[in-house]
Amino acid sequence: MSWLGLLVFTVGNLITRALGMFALGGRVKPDSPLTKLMALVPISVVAAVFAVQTFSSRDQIVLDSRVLGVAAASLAVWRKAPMVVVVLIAAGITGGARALGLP
Amino acid sequence: MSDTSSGLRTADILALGAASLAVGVTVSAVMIDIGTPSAVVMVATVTAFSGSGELAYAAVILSGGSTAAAMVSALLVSSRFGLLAMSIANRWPMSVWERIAAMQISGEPAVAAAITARDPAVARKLYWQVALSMAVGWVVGSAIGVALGNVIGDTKAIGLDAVFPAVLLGTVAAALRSRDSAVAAILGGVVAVVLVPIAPAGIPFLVAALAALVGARVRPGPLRRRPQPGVGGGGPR
Repeated sequence: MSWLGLLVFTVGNLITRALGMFALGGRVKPDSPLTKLMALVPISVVAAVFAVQTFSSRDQIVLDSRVLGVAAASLAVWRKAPMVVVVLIAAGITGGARALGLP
Repeated sequence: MSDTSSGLRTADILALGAASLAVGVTVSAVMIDIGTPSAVVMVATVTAFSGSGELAYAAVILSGGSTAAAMVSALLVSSRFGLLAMSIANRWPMSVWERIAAMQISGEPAVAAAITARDPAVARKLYWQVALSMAVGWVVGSAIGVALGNVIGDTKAIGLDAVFPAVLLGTVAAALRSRDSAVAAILGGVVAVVLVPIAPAGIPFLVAALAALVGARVRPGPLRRRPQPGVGGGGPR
């Protein structure tokens, strides 16, 4: 990335974030019926990022050791384990599965 | 900062910062590897604040794409930060300066932590704790990646690629205990994964946001059974 690229990347990011914060989100009144919808948007987006990072690589759906690591970590989340345990289980199971030769 | 409604404690917030640091090291090392000057990488870390955007850029360059295509991909992947900024805009009363700071360092875990809290003051506290911890980790990690290269080694071998999804699950889990949230999450996850092979990078996140429209039509209420640990997992698991 060049300095020019950096400028485009930075300004582009600022514009999308400002659009969300000021143009869209900032205009909705707290008692608006849209408030409920706005509370659900991040849940859908977070779930989308979660699913894409767990079940795909680049432009392909991929099932590999990550699925095992994330599944194990999800059990830890369900059991209300501390975040550091969740992280170590995710990395440990995924890395361990790969060490055993899984993709 | 003891217990909060989301169950995030100080140690959890520090763990999020540590995970963010590891991501910072690897992202910046990748950017250096594709020939980006150190100063550009370091400035981008702070001004663009999008590790996934940088990775998307590098992925296109590494597969032989043009810089223009790489930039389009980076911006599309980062476009979801606009949606995240939108969703916290009314969560608690904010001055213009707080809005600018909050939108600049917004990331999924901080937003996820904030939406688990009903009380606006708690949401604000959780947001800033998670966002600042992860921001410090991200910047420090990036500096390490620029200065020393990839000191972490083969990220796949140590399972680092599973850490961010696990962190997302850990932060958002508390928000998934009602039917409307569960619908928004599962549908969003499935839609995004299905679109991955078809749509350009970043677009699946934007389309998945429409799942919230469906979730909003579901009557809120507790899930009968325990919340599924794999909620949002769109794959055939």
